[in-house]
Amino acid sequence: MITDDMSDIFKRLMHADDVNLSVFLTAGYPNMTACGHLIELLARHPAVSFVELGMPFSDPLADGPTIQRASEIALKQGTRLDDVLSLSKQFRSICDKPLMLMGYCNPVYRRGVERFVKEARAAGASGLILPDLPYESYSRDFAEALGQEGLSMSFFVSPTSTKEGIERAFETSTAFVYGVANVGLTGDIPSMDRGDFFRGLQNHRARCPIVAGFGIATPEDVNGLTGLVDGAIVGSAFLRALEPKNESMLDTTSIVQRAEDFLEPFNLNLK
Amino acid sequence: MTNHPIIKRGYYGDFGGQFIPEMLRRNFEELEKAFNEAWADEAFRKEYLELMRDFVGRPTPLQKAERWSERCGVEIWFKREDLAHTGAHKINNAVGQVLLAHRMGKSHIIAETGAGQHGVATATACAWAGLPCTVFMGADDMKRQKPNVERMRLLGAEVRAAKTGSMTLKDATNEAMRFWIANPTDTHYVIGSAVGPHPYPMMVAEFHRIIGEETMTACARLDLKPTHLVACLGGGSNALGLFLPYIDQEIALVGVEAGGESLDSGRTAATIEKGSPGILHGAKTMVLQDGEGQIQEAHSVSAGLDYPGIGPLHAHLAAVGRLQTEAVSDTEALKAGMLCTRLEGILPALETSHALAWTLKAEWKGDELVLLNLSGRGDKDLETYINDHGRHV
Ligand SMILES: Cc1ncc(COP(=O)(O)O)c(C=O)c1O
Repeated sequence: MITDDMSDIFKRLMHADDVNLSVFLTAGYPNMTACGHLIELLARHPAVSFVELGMPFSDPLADGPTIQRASEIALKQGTRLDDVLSLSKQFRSICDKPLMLMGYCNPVYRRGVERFVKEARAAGASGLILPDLPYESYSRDFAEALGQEGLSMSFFVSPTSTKEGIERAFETSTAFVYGVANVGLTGDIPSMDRGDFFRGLQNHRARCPIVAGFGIATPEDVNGLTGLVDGAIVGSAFLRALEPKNESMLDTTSIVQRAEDFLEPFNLNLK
Repeated sequence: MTNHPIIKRGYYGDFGGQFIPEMLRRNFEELEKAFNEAWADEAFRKEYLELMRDFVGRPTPLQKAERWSERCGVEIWFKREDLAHTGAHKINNAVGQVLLAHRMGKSHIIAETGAGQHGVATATACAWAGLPCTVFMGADDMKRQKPNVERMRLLGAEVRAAKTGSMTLKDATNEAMRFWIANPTDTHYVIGSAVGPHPYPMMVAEFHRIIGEETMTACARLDLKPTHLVACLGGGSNALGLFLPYIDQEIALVGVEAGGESLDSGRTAATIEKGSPGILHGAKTMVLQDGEGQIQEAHSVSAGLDYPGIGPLHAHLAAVGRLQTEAVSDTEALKAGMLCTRLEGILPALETSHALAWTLKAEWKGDELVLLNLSGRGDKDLETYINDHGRHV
């Protein structure tokens, strides 16, 4: 639920006429140097309203092959939590768009929740998305620390969510509700009509913005959700565009160029 | 029962829980409800027990291991799970869960497997039930345990290689969970050990409780007063099956972990000895991890113990001092397996050889009475034993 005392960047997302575009990027992918340039590009890019920065984890249960591989590559190159935080800091030094840190529970617990939340705040992050965090653990371990630092949290709803599950996500989320319009993993092609799913959530929307994710790849996917959601996250498709397919695609300039090419058609959203 | 006194809201002490994505939450709610209802339903229990008797061949014998006892200097009895259908305890849980899945109206079964024993057991139960079965197995394990891969295919199961990470049990489990996220409605995931999110650890343990119950009955008949229960620890299912009815009694519970090359080599699977609390495969438990909270690869000659986690119930029992954990190395396990073959005429699974190895090196006073869970037979490990044997002759 969006309350008065939370940072108001997410309120800005609500009821925009267009669907806000968010881009997901795995920290440290394809390598740390290129990633620094990419985060800068996302910070400056007019089509990008906010960003999910992926904290790589060894066992990403909810991720499809693309993000799995990106995490594996990032970890192999030694990407650490501190690197994730410094990318966030770099982003914040350029812009005031929301940046969510997205990952799995274990690295956060390992670092220590309170310490991590403080560090995330210092790095300019706006909030956290941890798909495997249970509500009980959130209330016990995260809620207070996040509140103190003014950081937000997003929970998920999916086509398999129960009524109570949907209720709880809108009640508890303090950033936006992450709507997975897809029975599947990140990057999976949807097996159902996204519109139907999001139409079913409209009466909750006044309480908290809805952001769609999983398998959203093209400007058409994003535009197709106009009026139904406040934002849409493009993740796997963006990472696939960055993927170096041969030696000549390895250098930073070429990687950033591919990112720009990928984002170009999304500019048309801006009227 | 998932309302066993050591469970509070899906936690076993500090461990357990449900660290799962929202996409799976409904499945877990349904599963917990269905299991509780089934396990309280006499008709379900009756069907399960009849299958245990007629299909699995239970009860399995409790046999005095004369020459093994002599070698160890203490009286040791084997609970012969190697004689259960398909050659390991794994079939108890596979049959139980497939029955449950059938009752829930599921039309497709998936499973992960390490040594292939759980995969074979699940493929077997599915053949019996007429349900299609997909087994995820680490690409590396498919090489190590080739005969079991062929067996699963003969039984009609599809075996899918998990090619991520270390390409072993951990990665096969990831792939099975992911498949379930993408196919939540028709599919039931038959997890192979007492691991994963609640209610799996308790449910799997309950389907194996029969091991301990039969042991108790046999002990009463034979007038045996055991002082020690010993079992190897992979995810912990054979150990819990034996331990469960004894938990509140005065008896030592010993879990033997796979030390791998050695405990301090960094190439080990001794999760309780060498791990720390963390979250893996949807449960808080002891895990092998680095300072950044990344899960580390486990190493063991035994594909069934090669797992960087452990069931949360074991993590809890160890934390409160109820479970004694020990570790033996690859070499010790291989030696013990060969020795048992020669002394007892039983070729044990490499997993089981770890439990055996500990009884060889433990310091016994001589007045103890040890019950060892002989969790499986070693046909699947012939190649490993033969190669190792060749090295020593
Ligand atoms: C014969 C045998 N024993 C033991 C294990 C280890 O599993 P658990 O600890 O769940 O009993 C396996 C696993 O594959 C096995 O095949």
